[in-house]
Amino acid sequence: MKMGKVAGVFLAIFLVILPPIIPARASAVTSRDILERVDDLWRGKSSYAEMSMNVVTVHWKRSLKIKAWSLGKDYSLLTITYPPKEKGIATLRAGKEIWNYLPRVNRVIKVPTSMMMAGWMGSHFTNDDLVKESRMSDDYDSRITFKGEREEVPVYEITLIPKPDAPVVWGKILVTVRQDELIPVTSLYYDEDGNLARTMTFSDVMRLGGRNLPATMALTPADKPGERTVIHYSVLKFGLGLKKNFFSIRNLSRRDLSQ
Amino acid sequence: MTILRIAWRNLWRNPRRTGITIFSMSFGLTMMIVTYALMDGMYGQMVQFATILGTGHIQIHKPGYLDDRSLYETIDDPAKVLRVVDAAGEGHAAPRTYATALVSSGPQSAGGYIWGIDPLRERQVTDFQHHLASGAFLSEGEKGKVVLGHNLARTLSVGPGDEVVLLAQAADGSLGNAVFRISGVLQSIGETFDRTGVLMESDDMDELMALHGRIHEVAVRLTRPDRLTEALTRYKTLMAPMGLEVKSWRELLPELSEVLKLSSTSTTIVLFIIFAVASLGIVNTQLMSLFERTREIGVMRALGLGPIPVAVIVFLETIFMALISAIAGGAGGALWSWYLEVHGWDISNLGGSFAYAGVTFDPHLRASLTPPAVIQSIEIMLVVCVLATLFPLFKATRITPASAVGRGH
Repeated sequence: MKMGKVAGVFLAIFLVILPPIIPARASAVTSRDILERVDDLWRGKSSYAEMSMNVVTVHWKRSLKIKAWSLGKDYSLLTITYPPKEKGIATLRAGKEIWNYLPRVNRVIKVPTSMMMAGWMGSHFTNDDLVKESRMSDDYDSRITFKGEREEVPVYEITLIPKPDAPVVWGKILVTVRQDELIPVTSLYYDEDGNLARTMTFSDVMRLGGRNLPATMALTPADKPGERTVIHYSVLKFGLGLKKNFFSIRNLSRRDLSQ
Repeated sequence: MTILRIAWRNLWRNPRRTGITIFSMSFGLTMMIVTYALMDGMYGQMVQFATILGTGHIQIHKPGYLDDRSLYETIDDPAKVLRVVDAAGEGHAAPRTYATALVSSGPQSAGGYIWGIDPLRERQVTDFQHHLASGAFLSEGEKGKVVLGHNLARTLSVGPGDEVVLLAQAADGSLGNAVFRISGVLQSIGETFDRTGVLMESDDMDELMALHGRIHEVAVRLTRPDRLTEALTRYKTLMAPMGLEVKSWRELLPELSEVLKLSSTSTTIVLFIIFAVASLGIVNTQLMSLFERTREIGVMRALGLGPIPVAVIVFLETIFMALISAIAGGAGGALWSWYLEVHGWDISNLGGSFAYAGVTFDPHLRASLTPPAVIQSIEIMLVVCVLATLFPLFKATRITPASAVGRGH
């Protein structure tokens, strides 16, 4: 009898407490939180990465090795270390602007607005992708449009619609994120007519820089069958204490960066 | 013979009226010929501008190249194509390679469209070298130089002697980049070229774009542009075994081609209108002289002349006037057109240089006097004259001796 009472009290407490808990849990994970988490995954306050980029097109295949540094949302610097023909070519992004350094002609060239949609170093990533890299949560309105299992993995599907005056090229982006660690699985980019334009797939989740994250990203354009760009991270470090002045045009031409 | 003489004499019964009619017919014909020659000249200039400043008369490509101008749709054995075209002897040929690039100077950069050319051959096909605003054209074997389009040079604030960096995605996917010195800047020759055009030596282009000797186009300038159709057929036969596509400027510049097609119709209409106005004078003269001679014709009918000979007389009078006008007006029109062909007509004060169907023009209009200008104008005049004389002719046959003589003059 006593036990029954105790159980009854517990049950009552549960009944009182439980209902608020469930909505609280649901609202705790907003689409915005997930996106910011995803955005920050490869980036700390500052970061350093070594990666390979393999580009396959109908006409050629090539492999690049790249070193990259970043600071916050606005600064990044990439330099090619391989192949020898392109070694030392470097790209600086500061805010919305991009400069390329060309060692062969020893010049720094600012990428004009008209070239923002051109591929970066022959890849399927555009210059614009470098700029927009981490601004998904700024430029898009998002909401969770699916919550459940896809291929036996519990995921969130987040639909991003550009804000009315956001300077973006996509009409819609669908991001699928694993529920357990909020690690992205795919991003589908749709054009303004609602057609799939390209797919980004994330794989090879491993421990890099003290975090669990996908080491491989593959971008496949929908209109060019057989083509793709795959980026694979081999080294990733966070919290290097890089300063803003590291991300300068002058630094672009430093030879030791590409060593 | 008698009828001929009567008709001739009738003409000079009222020399002033006949003179005025002949004058107005001659003047009308002169205007027709000059208009014809000027319009011909203008269209000729349009075609010439479009062909010698870019297109050429005929172009050879890999089939499908023109659809999206892909870097990879190449002619893989340009030497053979050039050899065949040269052997055909219809005109001069020039190989070309095209690529989009970023052209940059200091902090300025702009999108460019590079033409990799063989300066020696290109000189014989296009006329870029005579349309330089400053500097010099490319010369054979001189590496590392470019010639820029008018507005491109202005956008980059550069001129001859300055350096530009060219950045392009080469055929092997690498980032082609090189510094070039500006050899010259072209005059305004057409909207697209002005804004994006970059000319460079084909060897430089090959290196920049990693094309390994492949090219995109062979442009041909015909020795006889008027034999376009024949040359096109000939080249098509020659290029078919190599699997290459041959197109004439009419297909390459459909906009211009449409304008021209429309223009020959509009020229004919304008000529008809010009002469229809002049023909009113003929109708007037014939009706007046008929009215004046009603009694006389009545007498002739009474003496046994049938209605047909009377009509023939009236008809012959018109023919005489038309022939005199054809000689006078033809000579006048030809002389005036010839003057406008030799000296041109500066229309720059009517609005400076102008563009039509995407082609920039020399504001110096030149007539083009061709036999059809004279012959066709005379033909139109004769047709209009005959038409104009039908009504007076009909009236003449209706004159009967009784009504005419009985009028009591």
